[in-house]
Amino acid sequence: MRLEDQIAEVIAEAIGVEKTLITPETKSVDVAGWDSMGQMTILFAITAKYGVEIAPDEVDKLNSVHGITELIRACGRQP
Amino acid sequence: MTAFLRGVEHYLPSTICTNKDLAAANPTWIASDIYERTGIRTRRVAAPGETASDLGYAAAERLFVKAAFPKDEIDVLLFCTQSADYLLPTTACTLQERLALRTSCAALDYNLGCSGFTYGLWLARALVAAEDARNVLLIVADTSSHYCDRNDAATATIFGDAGAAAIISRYENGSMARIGPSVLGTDGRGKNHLIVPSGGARMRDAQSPRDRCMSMNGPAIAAFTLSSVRRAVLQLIERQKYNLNDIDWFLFHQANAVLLDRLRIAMGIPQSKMPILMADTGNLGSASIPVLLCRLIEAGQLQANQRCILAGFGVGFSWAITEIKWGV
Repeated sequence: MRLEDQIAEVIAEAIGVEKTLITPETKSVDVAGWDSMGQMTILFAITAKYGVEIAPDEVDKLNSVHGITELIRACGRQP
Repeated sequence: MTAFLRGVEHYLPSTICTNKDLAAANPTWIASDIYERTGIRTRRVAAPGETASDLGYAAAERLFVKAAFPKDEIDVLLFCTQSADYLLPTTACTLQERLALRTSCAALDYNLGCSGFTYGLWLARALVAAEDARNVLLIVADTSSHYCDRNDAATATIFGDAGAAAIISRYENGSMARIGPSVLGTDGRGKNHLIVPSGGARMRDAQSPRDRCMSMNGPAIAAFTLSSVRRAVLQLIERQKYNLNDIDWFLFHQANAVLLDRLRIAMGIPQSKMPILMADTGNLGSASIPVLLCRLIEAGQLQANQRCILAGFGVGFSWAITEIKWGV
């Protein structure tokens, strides 16, 4: 499975929405529940799954599947 | 020379704000969701006009009675708040008068948030170790709820108000705990992630009502906690040549129950060693660690010779991680 597809699944599970609602192109504004609190939940989920540290100034990237994929790739981590 | 914790007390204001109260005021909020996302059911909030110094004063008076400690033996009063009574004078001067401390007592405010109590332990220990003070009264208090926009879920669901007081002494006799070393740190790049923009010299008058309220970037603070705070705790443990198993209690600032549990899991700390007791108080800022200590003391959970790591962290970003050994 491609990394962006994996991440879409992680996000859907974290914020409790149908997997079909999250695709590699999805942004936070497209999904109810992907608000600031949702971002925190996603942060917890991806740091746990991929064992990465996200810097405070990078959290804006938690607003889209694409941004999160970039973050994980930059850390050189994939499960 | 080291320093000892002679006593600790707290005061919670009487008004209770429930998740149902918040949801009633904001129809799009769901009370059960607030609990799921924060671990908070109710929060204690100061009444209009009730200030941080009022809460701190009440806590200190309780402490003097409970510890049977003479006020005239206090050499230094440290007051930590981010909700001072006035821009000037320093609130510690008003507390010196209200508490009827000696006029030869030094008194000063310092402005820190959730790292404030452990910072205060570090400062007080240094004053005692330098033989500049025999006994230091440390008061921490905030009325953060007065700076919350009631329509902002990020802050209104989280913050409560409290005051706490502790006496740090040169003398071991009658003390509760020995205060050990600290690891402190600062990362000013985080300054905008938790801020009240107006009221200070940079923006004296608010451009909009929102400028008078706290603005919090929760995800950024969570990222800071999971990285910098985690590293600082491990740094202190390593510096002391301990391992995680040597620590009996991890007493962390009660920021957000969900965040704390994630930090606990990431650090491999057993649930039984890291109490999360904030469901009925909310995040009490600098008072959260002493309130937690009081609750564990009241429950008889802290035992002689137990090692505790106290971790204060938050706005700034600022952090102070301190070891104490209980029951010396």
